[in-house]
Amino acid sequence: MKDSRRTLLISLPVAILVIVAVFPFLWMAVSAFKPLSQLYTIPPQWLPDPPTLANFKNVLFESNIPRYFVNSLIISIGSTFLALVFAVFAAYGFARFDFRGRSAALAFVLIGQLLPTATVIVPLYIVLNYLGLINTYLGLILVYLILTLPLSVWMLTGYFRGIPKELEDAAIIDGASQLGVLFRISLPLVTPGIIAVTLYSFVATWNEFVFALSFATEKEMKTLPIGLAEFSTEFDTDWGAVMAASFVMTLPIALIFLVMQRMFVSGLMSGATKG
Amino acid sequence: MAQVALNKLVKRYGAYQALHEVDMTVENGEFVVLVGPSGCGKSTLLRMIAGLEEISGGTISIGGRVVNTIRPKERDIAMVFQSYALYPHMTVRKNMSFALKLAGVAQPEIDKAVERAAAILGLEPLLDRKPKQLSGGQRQRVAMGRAIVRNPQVFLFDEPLSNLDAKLRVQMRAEIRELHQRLGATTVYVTHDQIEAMTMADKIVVMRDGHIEQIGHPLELYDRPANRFVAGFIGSPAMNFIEGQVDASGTDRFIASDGTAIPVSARLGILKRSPAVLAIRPEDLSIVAENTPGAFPGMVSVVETTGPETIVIANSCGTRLSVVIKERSRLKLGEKVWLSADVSKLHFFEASEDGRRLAA
Repeated sequence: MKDSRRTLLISLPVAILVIVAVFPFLWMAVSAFKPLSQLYTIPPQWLPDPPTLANFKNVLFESNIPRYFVNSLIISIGSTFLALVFAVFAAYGFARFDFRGRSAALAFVLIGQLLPTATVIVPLYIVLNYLGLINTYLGLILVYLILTLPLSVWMLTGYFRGIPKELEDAAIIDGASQLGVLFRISLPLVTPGIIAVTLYSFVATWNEFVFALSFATEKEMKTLPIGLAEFSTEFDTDWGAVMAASFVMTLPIALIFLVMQRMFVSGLMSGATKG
Repeated sequence: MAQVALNKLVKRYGAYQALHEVDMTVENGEFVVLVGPSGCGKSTLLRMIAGLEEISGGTISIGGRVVNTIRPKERDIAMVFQSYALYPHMTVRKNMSFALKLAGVAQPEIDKAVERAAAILGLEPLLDRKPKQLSGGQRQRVAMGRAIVRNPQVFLFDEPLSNLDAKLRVQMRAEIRELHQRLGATTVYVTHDQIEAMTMADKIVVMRDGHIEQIGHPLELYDRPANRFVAGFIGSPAMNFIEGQVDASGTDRFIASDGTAIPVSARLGILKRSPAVLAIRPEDLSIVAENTPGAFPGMVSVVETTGPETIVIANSCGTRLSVVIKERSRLKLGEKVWLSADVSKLHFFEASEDGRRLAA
């Protein structure tokens, strides 16, 4: 009796949380296939009848969304990759080497995470303008490092610290250079950390609004979040198109999570050392 | 194979000095054990030989070549770690091939070397497994295999058996010894277990607080410890120490701090009147009948049976004395016993901090 009551006590709140979290996405997905007339009826129509692809046709062939999608993809991938490269080297340095000002530097890195975006827009605009990077892919990619780098470095430092130092000692004795140790031994063993950093960076940059709004003003350079926001005014109350566009925007993230989730190898370290 | 020579080796961590001008030589093919309590500097010393720690002063030579500034991979050494340090994302075979691969050896040569090492250690059926699929003993053997495959000049072992259970430890001890006899490799082995030191070493180096206390053959350290520390460290159960002084009145007796008199041999002139420490190993004490000449009293405190022998701990001479006897004992707690010491097996040490051995 006690067990089933306990299960209920746990599963009920969890079920509520799941419904609350998942419902908006389900509604969005379902609504994307609804004709305009069925979108916001009262009482609400749960399933489209019949389902239509008109919204998707509109979004994919008669709007700028595909362009925005490509922009977002390039910028997110570029920013994620750059963040990964920098974070790996920085984190390894912080984790393994002892140098003067190390703790200060590590704390300083985190400060970047604390900056409210509103306060840095103006100075960043000035800098980007000076460098001629407004309305360029590179401009946004670099700027997004402010969002992605601090936490990535912090996360990866923790993961690198979790690798027993003896493994790296053994590799050095086996003849690996310091870089060899990083790439052959340490990096494979922090794969969960790399995946976490990749996912975090990609999602953060994919959904980012304020920097994109400020630094990519030309129509050709806009990213999906901006496009989506404008989309709703452009189409006034074409909620079907908005739903379809949102669906298109959410798809890559969902796919990435599905794929990478399998790559989280737990117990990666087991067997390396005693116990 | 090569000789390892340490000359006035110093290690400092900031203001703290971990090693104080250590001098030591490991001859070609010798199995030397560095033993001592935690923090004595033995692992630091080993890591300096390996090249994993910077040298603050003095030199280390391997094969006649000073290696202070030479990187680990060029020192031609292999190391077995306490926690095995196997690469978890590689199979046993890959673990063992790693070093040779880095050195650019051709794959067929690597395969041959791995097969050879695996055959020596009985690892053939395990070659395609990952470390997490192996038992502790198997992982330790893979760690050794990884070292053997490189055919180095010097083998370094850093407390490799500490994480194994007692039975496995005894078995692996013998295996390592056998391996050494087979390969004839110069070996430096670090442990805190004096039994491992006694059973495995050609030469033992006892260390304390960054100093070498004594170097010698195991039985040499056992029979003639250079100071009180070595005497108490080597041998289990530990040496008994009795504080007191030699009888000033001229009879051949040592008077313990509580007044108990213990007969000693005649040639102790230098010790008269100055405080000293008499030491005797538990197996050199015996329990005798009351009226035995030279016997002194004690009161039984603990009786421990190990199977082959019995350890009787008795309060006597102002301290607790351990006595090892071969027979089963029916002594009870609190019972009065009479003890006798083998006069030819007595050791004397200074009563001072150094506790150096006094000639007797």
